[in-house]
Amino acid sequence: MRIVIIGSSAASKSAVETLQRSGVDDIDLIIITKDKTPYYSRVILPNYLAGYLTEEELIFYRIQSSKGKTPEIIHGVVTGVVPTDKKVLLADGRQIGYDRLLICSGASPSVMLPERSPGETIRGVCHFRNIEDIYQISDLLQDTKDCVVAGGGLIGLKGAVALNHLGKHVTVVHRSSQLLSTFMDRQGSDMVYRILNNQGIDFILSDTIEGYETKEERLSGIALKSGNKLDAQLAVWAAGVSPNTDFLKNSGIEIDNGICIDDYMETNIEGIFAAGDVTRAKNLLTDEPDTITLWTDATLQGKVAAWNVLGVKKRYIGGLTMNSVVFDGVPFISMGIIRDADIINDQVFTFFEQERSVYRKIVLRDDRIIGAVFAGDIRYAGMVNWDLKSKRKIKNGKRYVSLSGLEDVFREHHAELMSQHDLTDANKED
Amino acid sequence: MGREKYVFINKTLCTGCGDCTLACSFEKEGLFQPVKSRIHIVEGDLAGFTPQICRNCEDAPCLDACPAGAILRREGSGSIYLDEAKCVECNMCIMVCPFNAISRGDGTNLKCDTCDGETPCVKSCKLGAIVLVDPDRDSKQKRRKMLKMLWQE
Ligand SMILES: Cc1cc2nc3c(=O)[nH]c(=O)nc-3n(C[C@H](O)[C@H](O)[C@H](O)COP(=O)(O)OP(=O)(O)OC[C@H]3O[C@@H](n4cnc5c(N)ncnc54)[C@H](O)[C@@H]3O)c2cc1C
Ligand code: SF4
Ligand code: SF4
Repeated sequence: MRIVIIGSSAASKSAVETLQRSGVDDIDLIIITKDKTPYYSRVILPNYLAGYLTEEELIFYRIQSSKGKTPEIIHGVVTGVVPTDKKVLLADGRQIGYDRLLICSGASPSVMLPERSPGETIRGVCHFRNIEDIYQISDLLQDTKDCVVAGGGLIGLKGAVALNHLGKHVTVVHRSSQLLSTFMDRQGSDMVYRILNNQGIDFILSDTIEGYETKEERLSGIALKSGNKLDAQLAVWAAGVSPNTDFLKNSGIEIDNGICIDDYMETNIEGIFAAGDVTRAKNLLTDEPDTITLWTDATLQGKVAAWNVLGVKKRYIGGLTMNSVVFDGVPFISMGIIRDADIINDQVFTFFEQERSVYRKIVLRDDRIIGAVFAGDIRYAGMVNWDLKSKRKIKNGKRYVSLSGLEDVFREHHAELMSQHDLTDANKED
Repeated sequence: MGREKYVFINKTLCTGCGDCTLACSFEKEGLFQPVKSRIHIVEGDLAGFTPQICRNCEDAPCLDACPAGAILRREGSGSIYLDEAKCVECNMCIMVCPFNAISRGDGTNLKCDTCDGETPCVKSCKLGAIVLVDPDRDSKQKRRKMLKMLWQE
């Protein structure tokens, strides 16, 4: 069976690994990618920008041969898919046939960069998604003193920290009144604000970029909606992505802000599957279609998709927002529903200790964990994550916000439960 | 050395003495410091002591979550190890490990890697609570049963 995968990132890696471990022998695997270096990790690009990692160290996966077969990597840009002929079309005219197709084409920044003249962007304004963006930023840094990061989400803040580490003056401009408005609640984001502010990063909240000023064709300043102006020789956009589906326009594959897939990762066209940032799939907590663009979700989807590509029915349990980050040595983790505005008639338990910067929060709905925040001390976050995913009934939510309580939970029933049911096999077989 | 094996700790035999945590931290870091150990013991009262160590999950969530490619599966035994040189300390693995088997270190996160089969923790346990088990990786069913046996209540 000839399986073609579009993309060489998180979802693709997880699918390749699963296909190779599946025990199915007669697989001819072809991976088509426009990345020059397949399987470099976008999540750790900020570490690369800051100089902590070499380009070589960005590579998180190397294709291996399995059962005497080595997957083929084709470097090229996919411009179309023709389901009636079971063919993928490339920009250079090549056509690649498939028996099963798995689309892992990810997402791209949704903001369009400003243009100086048609087709030419202003020198000094960049995206923050691909390695080419980092090359560009690094290039510009030599004659940059002040940077503006547009977007105070997790990716924007990671970028701000990297630029600050490189000795630049950084101002983060964020649309909402709270930093990390999807990743953290007010308390957690205040902690992050204080840490980063102490490091010398400036913040402008509840404001957006309105215009750009240039000097000799290079960015020199930013005009904000509020009327304020900032000096900036570099502006980095880190605000939201949209799925890479342009090349599917005439394919007949159903798209609605992402490729629509069922619980088995299959599109409306038989034999064509999708996984990762490019999909619109079920949310674990709401059961509604959602576009979750996270590494953890991409790898889970890639795995589930791979089994279904092989005809082994595995159901996707649903996507869950969760993330982890460290700022100045303080670890932060959040998962599920935690934002103050989303918590309505739910039970909330919190613990906060200013001195050691320890914060925990648990949100219960109908006796089940639907959200959690850990800061400062992240022990047992994985256990809570598992309780959330398995929708287990919780008797006493208060225990989940103290270390001794978490130890109690672990000791009393968790380890035993885990050993009896192989819960790590998250995707129920049908 | 023979075939690669996993480290398993029999909870019912564990008295929480902590010898294995000292042996582990000395092997890995040259220090007798339980916080540096890849095994941790949760102290207990009536419920007993609960050792925390990696279970080498068949469908390892930590491996899927790691964005740096620092968590890998060994050929052969299928055991899961953490490549400390690649770890960027992002804690994604801690966020998803149900067994609290990964801890934060200094420069890298820490997790049991079965010491290539030469395991000081096994020798250190006077009660024989720590054993090396031969995973029959082709039969998941068997493995589940084995897990059940080792964790019997
Ligand atoms: C700076 C940064 C920090 C991040 N931090 C985190 C984090 O902390 N936690 C987290 O969970 N997530 C984070 N993310 C998000 C994470 O990187 C993505 O969720 C993940 O990369 C999605 O993987 P994917 O496989 O779906 O697609 P992508 O990584 O978007 O890759 C898409 C692949 O498809 C290929 N492709 C696309 N179109 C075509 C085409 N037409 N022809 C050929 N090939 C094509 C691309 O070349 C690429 O290989 C971060 C992202 C960035 C940029
Ligand atoms: S570290 Fe945790 S999640 Fe990873 S294999 Fe071990 S027990 Fe499983
Ligand atoms: S902390 Fe290290 S091992 Fe864990 S997910 Fe991050 S890079 Fe991987």
